[in-house]
Amino acid sequence: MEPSADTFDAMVEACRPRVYRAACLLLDDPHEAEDITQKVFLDAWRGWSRFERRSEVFSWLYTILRRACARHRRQTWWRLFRTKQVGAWSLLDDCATEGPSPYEATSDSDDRSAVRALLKKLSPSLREVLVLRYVESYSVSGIAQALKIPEGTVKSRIHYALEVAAKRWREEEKHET
Amino acid sequence: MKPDTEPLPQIEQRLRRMLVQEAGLWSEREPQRLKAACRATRQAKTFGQRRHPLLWAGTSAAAASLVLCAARMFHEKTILPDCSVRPAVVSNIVDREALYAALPKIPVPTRPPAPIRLFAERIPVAAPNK
Repeated sequence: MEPSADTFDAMVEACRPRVYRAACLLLDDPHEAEDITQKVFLDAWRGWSRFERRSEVFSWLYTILRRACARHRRQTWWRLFRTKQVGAWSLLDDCATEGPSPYEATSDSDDRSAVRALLKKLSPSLREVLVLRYVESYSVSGIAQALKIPEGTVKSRIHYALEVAAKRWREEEKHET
Repeated sequence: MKPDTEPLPQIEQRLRRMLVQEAGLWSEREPQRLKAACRATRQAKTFGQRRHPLLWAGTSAAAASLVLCAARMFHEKTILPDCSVRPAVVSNIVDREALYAALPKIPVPTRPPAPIRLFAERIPVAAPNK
């Protein structure tokens, strides 16, 4: 694929929904996900001429997305720290509570709220693996290649995430009964 | 099957189904403005390719050289001429002969100082034997 503007446009059209939904799952905020998706494609255009096409385009975009999400998380913490106001800390406390946010309150089903609560409980590295494995249907080796981590680490992260999910759902079942 | 008795593969199936459902909902709800914004990414006029670090280094070196040349030219045009003029002006002002003539005269001694006077009357001497 030649590094031209037309191929970039085609790539944006093809990959934008995947990047957006991955950003939604990683950030759990559709508005932030929109901003991050835009930043991802901006960074992708900057590096488009240097992209060597050795890996799949989405893997490359996913790497950019992970970095953008990490940068966003750092900036969020710094913004909260910099304000040094009681309101900011109370906002942080609100974010840390287990209760549903206003956006979550409008969610469609119990499954949705369950999966959102689970994703919120998991660390970003576990979320990244889960999105690639179950949403994008990547193989373990594909995930290892995309995230540049050993396959054993991928397997252990998936296993740990499944255990967290099982434990959480068990607790929910107990509460219901 | 209850989750406490569910084996991990079934938990995996359940998680996969929920994640795919969640992702599908996000895909359906993708806002139109995001499509337009991502399409416009490439056309943004204020946005260019990121320059190579070496290019930045070269540009800053050239700018620094220009600033140094300008500073040197300014120094030569303004400060150095003043430095070359100043000794001539100073030598004209300070005329040693006139300066010495203006100083108060100190009388030059014409005779040697008087010898120390001995107060002979204060020196006890023995009375003359008569």
